[in-house]
Amino acid sequence: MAHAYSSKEMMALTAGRLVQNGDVLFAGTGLSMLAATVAKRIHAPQAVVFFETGGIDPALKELPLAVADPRVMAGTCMNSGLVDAFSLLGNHRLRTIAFLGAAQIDPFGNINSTCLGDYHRPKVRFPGSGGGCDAASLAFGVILFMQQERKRFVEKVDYLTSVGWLRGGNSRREAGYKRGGPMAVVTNLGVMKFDEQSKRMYLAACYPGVTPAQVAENTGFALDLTRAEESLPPSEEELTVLRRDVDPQRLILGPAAE
Amino acid sequence: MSASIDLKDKLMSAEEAVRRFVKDGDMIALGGFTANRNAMAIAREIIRQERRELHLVVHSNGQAMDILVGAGAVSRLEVAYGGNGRFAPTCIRFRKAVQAGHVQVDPTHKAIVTDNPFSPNREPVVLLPALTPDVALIHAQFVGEDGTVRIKGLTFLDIEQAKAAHRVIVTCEEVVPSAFLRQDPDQNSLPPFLVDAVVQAPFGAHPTACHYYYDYDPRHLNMYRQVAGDDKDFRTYLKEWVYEVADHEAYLAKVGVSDLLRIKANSSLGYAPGLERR
Repeated sequence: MAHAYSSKEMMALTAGRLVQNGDVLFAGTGLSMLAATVAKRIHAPQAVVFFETGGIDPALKELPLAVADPRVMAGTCMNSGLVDAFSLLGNHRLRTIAFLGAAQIDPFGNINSTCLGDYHRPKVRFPGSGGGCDAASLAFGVILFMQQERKRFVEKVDYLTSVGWLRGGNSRREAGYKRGGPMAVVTNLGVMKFDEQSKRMYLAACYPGVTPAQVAENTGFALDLTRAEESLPPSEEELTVLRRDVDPQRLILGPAAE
Repeated sequence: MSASIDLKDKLMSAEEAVRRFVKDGDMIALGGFTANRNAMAIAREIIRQERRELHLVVHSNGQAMDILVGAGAVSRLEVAYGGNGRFAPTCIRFRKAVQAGHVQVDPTHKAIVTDNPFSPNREPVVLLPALTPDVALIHAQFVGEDGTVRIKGLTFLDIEQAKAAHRVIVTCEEVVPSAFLRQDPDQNSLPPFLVDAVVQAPFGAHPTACHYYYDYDPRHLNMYRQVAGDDKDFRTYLKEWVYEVADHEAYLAKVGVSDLLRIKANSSLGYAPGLERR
């Protein structure tokens, strides 16, 4: 059965599929919140959501619109502070998975959410790291959300906000990061992963109806396309949970697909 | 127990708190986080008293930071995140000021990477000295008659900011008998001896949220988003909502009862369920 679905819906569900039971999910605003919530409701009920602001395992009866939304502090098992949340991120016992977004990304998953142009007098100023750099540095793993555009997938980011695989190979470990690193990049066209050895980004999956050539056209650096498979489309269950239960007002999803 | 004597010395109007404790050139730690529990009543008073050359140190802010930057009060800014959730993915006046070079964004301290002397492999560690703000501005739900502060919900970085600062101004929804707070001391956030000024300011975080009291105000924040991008419209906003408003009570009268009722929190949930947030 064919269902019409938007690229945002596909991104949220694709990221959700990467979540495993028992993961401790460090959620941000927007798509990551949808991904975390839908994963919990479908295939990873033991996954726990926590926010950088310190709310752990909130009830989430209503969708929070920000990590400091009062809805992230309701029905939690614990409310704490920023320092606690960041130390939880780095706790050696926990498989903490952080969802991050950014304005720019390079072939090794290093990201920029700070500015374009000179830091002191930028052409465009973005909000900044927030908890992103902490998450990229300390979490067990990171899943990135990006719009697939040439101006975003660049050889070199204007500003290094958060470290991914650094210069590739073993450079991240050698720089002193004890663990972590990007696991996947989920975009509006497909999913990229990172080569085991070189840590360079490659195309792992295209969404139904998207060709690897399209992805390459929208990427500002050379991308290995040889390993790309086609993603499974969203299931009826996934779409129902997302639309009916998780974001019924479409506050984050935005307009429905035609 | 001379509990209420403590608070009598500290309880004052926003006008007096800013006049006495906030100077030009101060390093100011803003509590709260994006659209939650910002010390807005104090921020508006700082603008009215025309403080200049302020050095803001914040984690993730927010409405208070944006109006202070927009009013030209800030010359230097250290911030991890200048955003307001969906209402402003990047804070509007913050973005404009940084792009125009109107605020300095260098950190006070640069981090040092050095070998960890305790690690057998001499792995690197990052060292960064603490900041000592001149004043921290916190909005809390409760202050006791003895000066004890209780923040409900998430504390963000408020407690650390208050402990680091030379002086602390706390605005609060309610002043309560100290016995009420001492019944359950593990719920309390700051001891009285870390607080210099207490200002009773119901809805003092508006238009940001204050857990168990009110939600963020989507109407006001959406209106702000409409006007803040244009310099002239923003000046009008400051004129109407800050300069021509004598004090916090006059501000609330301008917000109006309907809007305050609309965002009033459910006592059990802490936010306003079903609030129209588009």
